[in-house]
This record gives sequence, C-alpha cells and structure tokens, in this order.
Amino acid sequence: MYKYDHLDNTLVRERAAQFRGQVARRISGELSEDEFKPLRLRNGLYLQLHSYMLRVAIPYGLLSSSQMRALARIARRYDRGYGHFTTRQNIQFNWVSLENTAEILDDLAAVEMHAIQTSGNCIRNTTTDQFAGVAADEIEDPRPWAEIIRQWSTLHPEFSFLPRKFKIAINGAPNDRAAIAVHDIGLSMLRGPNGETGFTVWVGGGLGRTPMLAKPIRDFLPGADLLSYLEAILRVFNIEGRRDNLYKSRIKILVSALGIDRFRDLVEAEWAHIRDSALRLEGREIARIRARFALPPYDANVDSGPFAAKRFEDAAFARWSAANLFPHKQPGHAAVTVSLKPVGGIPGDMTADRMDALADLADEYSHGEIRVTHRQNLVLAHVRQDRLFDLWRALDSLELATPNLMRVTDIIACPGLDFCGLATARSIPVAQRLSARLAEIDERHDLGELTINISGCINSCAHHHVAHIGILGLEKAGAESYQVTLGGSSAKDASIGKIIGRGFGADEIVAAIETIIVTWLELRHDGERFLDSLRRVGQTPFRDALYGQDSRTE
Amino acid sequence: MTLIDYRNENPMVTDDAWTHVAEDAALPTDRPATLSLQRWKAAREELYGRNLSLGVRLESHERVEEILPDLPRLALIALDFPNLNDGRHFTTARLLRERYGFHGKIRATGQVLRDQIDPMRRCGFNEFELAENKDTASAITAFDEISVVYQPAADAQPTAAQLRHRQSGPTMAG
Amino acid sequence: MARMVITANRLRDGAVVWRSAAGNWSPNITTAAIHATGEQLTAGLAAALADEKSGRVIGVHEVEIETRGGQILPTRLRERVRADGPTVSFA
Ligand code: SF4
Repeated sequence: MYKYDHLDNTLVRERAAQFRGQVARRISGELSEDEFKPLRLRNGLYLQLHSYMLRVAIPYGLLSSSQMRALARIARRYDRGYGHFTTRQNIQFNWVSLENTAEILDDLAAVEMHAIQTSGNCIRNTTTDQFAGVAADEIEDPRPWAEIIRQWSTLHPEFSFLPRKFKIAINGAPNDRAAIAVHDIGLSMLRGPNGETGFTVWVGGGLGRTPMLAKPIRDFLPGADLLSYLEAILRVFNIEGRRDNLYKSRIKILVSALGIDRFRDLVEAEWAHIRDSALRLEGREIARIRARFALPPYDANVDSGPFAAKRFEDAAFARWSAANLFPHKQPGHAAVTVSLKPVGGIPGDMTADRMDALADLADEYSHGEIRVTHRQNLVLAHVRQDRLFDLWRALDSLELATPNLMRVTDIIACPGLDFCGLATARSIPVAQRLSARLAEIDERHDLGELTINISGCINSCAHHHVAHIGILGLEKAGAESYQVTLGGSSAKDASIGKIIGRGFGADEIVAAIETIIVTWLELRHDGERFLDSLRRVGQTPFRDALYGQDSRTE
Repeated sequence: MTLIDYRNENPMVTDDAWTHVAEDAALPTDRPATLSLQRWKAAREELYGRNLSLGVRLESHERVEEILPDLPRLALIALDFPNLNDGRHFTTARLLRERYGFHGKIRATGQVLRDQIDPMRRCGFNEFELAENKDTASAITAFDEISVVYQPAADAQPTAAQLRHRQSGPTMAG
Repeated sequence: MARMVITANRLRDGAVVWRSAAGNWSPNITTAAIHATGEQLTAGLAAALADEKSGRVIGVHEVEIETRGGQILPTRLRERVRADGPTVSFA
C-alpha cells in the first residue's frame, strides 16, 4: 500500500500542528464558533448531539494492521472503546472532546493518517472498489489513481471553499463496486485503442434531497490528463455552482440546470487552457505511486483441496464461504469480507479489542492489510484458500463471521438520531430490529442478494435511494416516520428507488418490511433476486399488500 | 488601516496607501484608489487618461472577464470575500495570474481570516486586508504553517511530485 | 406558553448541558431552570447567549418540556436523546 515519503509525512504533521493552533485560538476566544466551524469541519470535527465526533480519513478504504492498532488505541484512550466505519470507507469516533483532537491528530500522523477534508465544502475522501488490485474482473488497479487524486485534492488552494462538498469515486473493473453513478464525479477505468490507461468520466450524480444518477461527460480521458480534467470540472463548479441555497449547491444541480452538453462545453473549454500545464501527470510519478501498490508475493502453488474438503464437512463454513468470499485474480487465494453486521448489532461499529484482534489476523493471513468497504464491512484481500478455514474459525470466535454480505442482514445504517445532530429519526434501532427479524426469514427462505439501507434524514448518508429496499427516517408531527423506497441499486445497473407510499411509524416499520418480503416470496421465481422480481412485476403488488387495494389512487 | 503585503516571498504588515472609493465619493487626486466594477465601467474612458494608480473591486459574483482589456491600466484588483464560504475568487485570482498575465497587486478584502491567506497566496493574492478585529501582526505566521504542496498553482513553489523527481532526473537545474 | 428549559453543548468537550436557575451549566437535566413565561425565557436565553459568546458553551437553544412525577421530559425525541444519551447500547 502507499507508504508516505518525507514530504507526505511533513504535510500531515504540519496540518496537525496547524489544527492544534486553530483549536487553541478557539478555546482562547480568538476565534468565534462561526469562524471556527468551517475550520474544524474541513478537518473532520463535527459537533454531534452528545459530543464532538472526529471522522478520520481512510484513503480509498486501505489500512495497514499497524494503522488499525492505532485506531484501536485512539478508541480506548480518547473515545469509549469503539469506532464506527462509514459508507465513505472512513472511521468516526463519536465521543471525543475538542481539547483532545490535536493529540489524536498527532497520534494519527505517527501512522501516516489524518482527518484532512473528511468534511466541509471541499474534495472528500476518494472511494473505490474494496477489491481493487485483487478482483478477477479488474481492468487495472484503481488505487494508484485514487492516491494521485488524494494528493492533488489535499489542501488544494483553489478548491478549499467550494459551493458544497465534493465526492469522487473510481472503479477499475467492468462491474461497478464503487457506486460511481451516485458521485459528483465517477471514474471508470478502461483501456484505449493502444492498451493505454484511461477513464470514462461521469459527473453530477448524488443522493440527498434530489437523487440523480451521474451523466457521462467524457468517454475516454487519457490517464496523464486525469488531474487537468478534474481541475477543469472543479473550476467550472467553483465559479458556476449555486451558493444561495444549500440544497441546490451540489454539482448535480448545476449539471441538470445547464444540461450535460452545455456543462461539457464549459469543462472542455476550460480544459483546453490547462491540459498542457504542470497538471499533466508524468510517467515517472505514476510509476512511483504504482510501485507502492505492488501486490504481495503470492504462493503460486496453493492446494485448494483442503478448502473444498472443509466446505464439504462443515455447513457453517460452507455458508460463510458462499456469502463472504470474493474471487481473486491469483489462483488459490480469496478476498474475505469480515462482516461488521452481526445479527441485531450496530452496522459498522467495532470495538477496540476487535480492531486489535483483526489487525493480528491481517498480519497472520493477509499480508498485514485491511480494507474498509462502503457497505461498512472490512476485507482481508489476500488469503490463501488452504488457510480460509482457520481464518473463519478465528473470525467466528470474534463474532466477525456473519455470513451475510449483500444479504438482508447486511444493513447499511447511518448513526441517525442516536448521535447525529442533523437527524430526524433513529436508524440504528430500526436496523437492529430488522436484522433480528429478517435473519429468521432469510434462514428459512434463502432470500439471496437483497440490500437494505437506512438513513436518519434526507442527507442520505446511508444511500437509501440506491438500496433494493431503502428506508428514510423523518419526523412527522413530532414522531418518527419511516418512508420506504423500492428498487434502488448502486451497481452497474444503477437506479434510484421509488417511494412506495405513506410512511410508517417506528412500531410499524419492521412489520411493513416483512410484508414486502413475504409478498415478494409469493411471486418470486426460483432463485430470483428481489430487485429482479420488482423490476419484473412493478410496485403494485407491494403497495396493495402494504396499503390495501382500496387505497389505489393512481 | 494596516494590511499584509506579501511581496518578494516576504510577508509584512504595512499601512495601506490605497483608498476604496465609495460609489458616489469623489476620486482622490493624490493617492491610489479602487473603484467598484460598475463605476469603473461607466468612467473607464475618462479614467484611462488620469495620472493616478487605479484599481477595480470585484464582488464575489463579478467576473474578471469583464475587465480583461483594462488589466494593463490597473495596478490593483481587489477581490471581495463576503463570507467564509464563498470561494469563487480563489479561481479569479488564479485566472488573473496564470491565464491573463496580470502582474499588479491582487488584494483580498472582506471576511478574510488568517486561515485563508496561505491558500489565497498560492492562488496569486499578494495583499490581505483581514476582517475587522483580527490581529494582522500575528497572522503573518500563517504563511509558514504548511511547507509542502501537492498541486501546481499561481505561486512558484515546486510541488511534491516535482521535488521527488528532481534529484534523479536532468530537470535538476529547473 | 409551553414550558421551556435552555440547553447547549459545552465548548471544550461537547457534552450536553442544561442551564440552572443560578446560571450554571450541568449535564443533568433535573437541575435545569424551567421557564414558564416569555419574559423568563428571553432573559434566560440572553444570559445563555452571553455564555456562548464568552466561549463556555455552543449551540444554545430552548427546549420544550413537560414534567411527569417530578421528572423533566423534553417533548421532542431529539432532545430526549440529548438528555438521556443514545437509545442503543453501542458496539
Ligand atoms: S443521513 Fe442524516 S441522520 Fe444519517 S448521518 Fe447523515 S446527516 Fe446524520
């Protein structure tokens, strides 16, 4: 993985010292809260309901085992012994105090980590496929490019005060595992006519109040031009984006107001000026960064016999293998998803003890490397098949082996009203109750791939619009009310879910989701995914089941 | 009024020689002055002939493209920041320096805080009027806080990528 | 007027605090001063905002409450969660 050189190290340490000064000026009263807020936000420090929350950047979700141990230490020393992994592949500490943040940042800097631009109206952590570098279907490893984007966007002097936050995702395989369609900029890698690296560029996707899928702006962008093209898009956005209305300030609104063709013209005109500038990437810098993502040395002669035998002998292991393993480009190996979604648990939460234990397992089984997924799980990406059984047993004893990747209990949930100052309803308790109830149904009926995401307000941090079943918590007449959307997807067949009807109270929502699933089971073709059945039959049967046929209005 | 003057890579606190002339006030005859974009556009023909250093003030929504032909006549462009969130003029300053070849002063005015002036400098600003009640003298250390830059901008500082490959390649001299 | 208490978060650690009649900020809602009239609330808020200005607390706002069996209960769920902590046990 990327290893800092002295320049990277210097910058992160200087930034931590700079933030220490900003905190000191706040505490001394030199800075008012209005002045301090944008400064703390662009360094990941929020004020939540009960405390400050610090969001630590995990660039493109990649962690070393020693970084994971540092996170565990921080969780113990400055928080309440746990952390929460987010849908942007970052980690949040929910219980930090303002006075401690400078120390935390120093501790992070010591392991090449930081909280730079994890919030605020600037370019956020670039996310990518959690199987980058090892996926069998990959065109090219996107992580070096994500690192190139990280460096370019870090403390970018021109784009530090954008109209609104800005999120970039990059995917290196034909199957989209980075949800590029719902990002401000989505990059999908492809090869040009002569085998050269390039990107198809998408722009203007996003969720929130006005969910939109990104539109293609450029079919083929040569790799060397990546930064100049991104800079051109950001520059047009910085000048033209709306600043008068928070809800209209994302680039998706600008793109749809101008139309993608007019927007493209502006970007291309800008790009023509800067394409041949110092932003053009030099081959040797690309090569330098690529070299740091070299894959670990694999054993070419792993015997996969024991793996097959163990699956045959042990049904629980077989089930986990079927759900949580991903095909690896290296024969005899697998990428393992470590579920942070125990049945009835809090999605994405992890105790410091488990962080330490997982760091040890990463050292033992996966070349000391851990990845965070945008589904709030973790991945050990380089496991020999003949050691999968031992790893599974170790994970199972840590309660990290729930066999549920992309299944109905692999629920994505934001912190919601239990923690978040912006929330309109709770999401965690709904996730817990749903998970407990649906685990039973899944046990009996094998529901297959079915995603459920729960956001505690319209900011949509849990991406409920692109879940097969999305749940949005609102406040209606002083009570929690949950609106259900059906038919979203963030995969290659991306779509925005549609609202099924009026919302459900906190005591009704679990039963409503159960009704949807029971209704589906009656009309499901053998082995069909929920999403495919829904696309086949439409919303009507579900609406009828939830609200009765009499309530049909349209 | 004092301001930070970042000249020759060397920030210092100086007294402001300039006057920001209000919409209906008379132009001074003995000291340099800035005008609003509107007033400049209305009076530019006549002002061209005066023996006076002149500048134009641009509000955050006003575009520098409106005064491109006038740039050689102008000694200063003042770019206003109405609040902490409006970053449009970071782009304006870069365009002035990097695209339109403006060599005069670019001054930041309005809600300018210590924590913005270093990125402003990188975008081409070289004068900073801090927001009211802010300590100008202590703010000049803000330029020393971050020594590494990752991206090219309007300043001459070599980027991390350039530094990395300098030792090895023939670009050493550059 | 509905009855109100005044709350904020402490600047240094972000903890939820409630303003007492004596002008102290306490993490315990039971000590909060209850304002029953507009004038009381206005005066309480003015003092609280002065504390915000001086940097003791941030995010000063008033919260509608009811009392039951001597307990102070915010009417909105958000404020109940602030008063009692998360409704879930974490990690
Ligand atoms: S979706 Fe809303 S409630 Fe959930 S974390 Fe985001 S802002 Fe908070």
